[in-house]
Amino acid sequence: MAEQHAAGVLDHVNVLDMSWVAAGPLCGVLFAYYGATVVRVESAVRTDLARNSPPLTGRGINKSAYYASMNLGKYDLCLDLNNERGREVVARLVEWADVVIEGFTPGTMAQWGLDYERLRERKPGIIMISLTLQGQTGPLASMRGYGLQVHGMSGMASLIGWPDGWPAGVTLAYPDYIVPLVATYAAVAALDYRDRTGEGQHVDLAQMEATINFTGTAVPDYTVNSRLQLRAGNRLLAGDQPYAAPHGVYPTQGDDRWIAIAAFTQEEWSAVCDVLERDDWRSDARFTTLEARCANDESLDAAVAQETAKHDGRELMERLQRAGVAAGVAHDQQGVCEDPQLIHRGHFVPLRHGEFGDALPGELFGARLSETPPRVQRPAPLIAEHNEFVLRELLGYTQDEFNDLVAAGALEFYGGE
Amino acid sequence: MPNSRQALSPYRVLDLTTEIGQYAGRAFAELGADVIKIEPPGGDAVRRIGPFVRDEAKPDRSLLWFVLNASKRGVTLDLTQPDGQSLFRRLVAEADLVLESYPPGALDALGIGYEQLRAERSKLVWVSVTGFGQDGPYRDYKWSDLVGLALGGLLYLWGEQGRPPTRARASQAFYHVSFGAALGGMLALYHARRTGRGQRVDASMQEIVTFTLGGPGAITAFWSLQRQNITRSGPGINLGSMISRVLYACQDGHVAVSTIFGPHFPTTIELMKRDGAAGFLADEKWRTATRFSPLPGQWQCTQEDADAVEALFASWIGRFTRAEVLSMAREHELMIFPVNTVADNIDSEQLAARGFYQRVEHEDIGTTVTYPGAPVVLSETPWRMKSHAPMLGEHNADVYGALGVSGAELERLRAAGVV
Repeated sequence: MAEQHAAGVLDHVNVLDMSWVAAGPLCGVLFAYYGATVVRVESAVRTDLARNSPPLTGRGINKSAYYASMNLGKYDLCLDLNNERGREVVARLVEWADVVIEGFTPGTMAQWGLDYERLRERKPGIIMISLTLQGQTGPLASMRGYGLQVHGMSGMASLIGWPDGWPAGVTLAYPDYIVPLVATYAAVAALDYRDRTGEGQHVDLAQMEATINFTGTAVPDYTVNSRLQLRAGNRLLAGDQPYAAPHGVYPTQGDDRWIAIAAFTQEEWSAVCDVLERDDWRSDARFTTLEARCANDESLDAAVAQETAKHDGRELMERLQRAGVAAGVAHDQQGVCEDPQLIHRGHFVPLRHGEFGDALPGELFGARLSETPPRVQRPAPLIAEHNEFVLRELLGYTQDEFNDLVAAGALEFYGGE
Repeated sequence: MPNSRQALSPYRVLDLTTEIGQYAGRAFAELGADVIKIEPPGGDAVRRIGPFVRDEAKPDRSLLWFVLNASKRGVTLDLTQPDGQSLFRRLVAEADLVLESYPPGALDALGIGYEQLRAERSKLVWVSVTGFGQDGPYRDYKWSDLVGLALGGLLYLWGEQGRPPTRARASQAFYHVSFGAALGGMLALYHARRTGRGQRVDASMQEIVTFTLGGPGAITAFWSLQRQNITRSGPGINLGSMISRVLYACQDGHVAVSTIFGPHFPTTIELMKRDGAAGFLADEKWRTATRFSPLPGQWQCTQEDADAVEALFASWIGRFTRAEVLSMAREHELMIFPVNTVADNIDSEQLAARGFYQRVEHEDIGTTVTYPGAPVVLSETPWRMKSHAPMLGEHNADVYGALGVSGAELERLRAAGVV
């Protein structure tokens, strides 16, 4: 029998999130979407870099929308891990948790007595997710840095951009936003295994290794065919042969407005000719067959661009789609916020955040489970917002014990603006 | 024997997806599920996409097919024929999860959609992978990787100003939705085992791309909070109020720096001094400079300052090769990494130490193919490549035989073009 309210798959799961910045915290966000109770532990003294990262609505510890994104749906607890009583609280949290997420340089957790072996002694069946750039082992294990360096080092950057231009995709630290999908998928599988067997495990994610798995055929093509795949603009290539044309991003009316068009078949090509009102292209020897279009893709791209520039992007997208051609405008941030499909899916969730009020909606994850849909449980926390709630309500400390821990300096409270 | 256990070994998955969702099936297979890839008798479309082994365009040689379908078993089945549909129903009766990427409504029209099959198997998890989702104004839109990146907002940020945005040479949005579908499917599978109740997972490529757009709402906040749009900016980050260079040319390519002004900035200055390249940075005050909101003891430098620092840094780092930069970064804990190609990483000492790459014998075509290894290492139930991707119809006899289809019956089905 269906329950009255939509339950989450992970309503019974507790997550202790000790990671920082982006990749680790986003695993916590994914757990929270599906019902887990996620406690983010951080320091109010050595604050998360994300708290200073744009978009910022001003100076102040709670004014980063970036932090708000990375911690959507969580509770916040600020602890001093170098304080003995602070470590005592962490020990209680470990006993409370099913999953621990961390992203420190390998060896750091061990200094606090929180390495996997000791966590499992304290809480048999615990699942620990460790996210690092290079993994827990190997000669580069201790290298510190951020996702942007992995974007370069993994080979991903070399696959994005124009052949005559810079390696691209550096506006974001791209690996930080893809590896949480990998780690969280594996961790939920590990939870299922734990429930069946009682056995937990250590999930060791190296951003390098996960990211290399997103490079398609680049590794086997190099090792089998000695072909080195490098960035190729918007061509869709099989090895080095294009197999769709037009396949590109073309200007539309306005400043920095673009439409992506991908035509694979003769029917789709014919529809492109119709919509762009260029009947003459059908008889142009350069364009008559897919093979010809691929061979002449530079002149094809130039010709298509000349036509698309006359059109409003959204209207052109709708007309091309109605005619059966894959097309989509390259949304800027306004475009995403106003996209009718995302709005239809309820992607944007109204929230009331302590700093941003209702100006910053929560955004849902695009895997919708019909009976246990994802939800945004609460806005991102303010710093140290749930110190008392976590200790009293989640961990069961008495008010006296809580006061005692405050007096002992185990908890941190933010003293700045 | 910890390595023989796998997390998902009790589960069976039927995989009907095309390119957009095929990696999801591989993700289930490599955590141990028995994943059966079902393709039309003429072969899945991905088999026709190169590059091919030794560039010989044959269906059992597509490297894209290999990387998306490793570790699965494979059968052929024509789902448009009644006999095919009946076999499919029999497979579903023993499956825990179905992955499909048909246009919304297409399987319902064949009489084998989720609503039609759930009645027969209440704990069934059904994962639909599409460009935009099962309903809404874009429901019937055609999708491609490029279009997914575009409407998800990520494409706009990739490339250089003054030129069109650019995709990656590998189809990123397909990976995003595949992992998103794997996550959604895994959650539903977990729930079904706990409660006995299955459900449908509707995975939208466009919507999942918005998550990889810097996390949920991080980048769109430029618009919702500040009525601003940030755009792509070649070798750097342009956050409107702050432009920060990430890539620098060196002797044999590029290096990537997330920010010069990190905890390693004082060390960087010392090294530049050592090489007589510090210029104005020799002034002590720069040791505490930052580009971000200053922490106690730091001061925030201006964009002009940052531009000048980056120019000095560029002329210094440009003297080195990538290997020299990596070794300097390791020795001095600098957060500067080389920009590699996939070829550079094949001989990586780090990846070799972790046993990352998987060399797999393909006996049928007499070659060994090197694959990226596990994207994540699990201590007790490894992520493991079990086998190379199936040849066309490779497991027909096994899979249909286990259903009780006799050899003679299978032959009849083959002759009728059902398998």
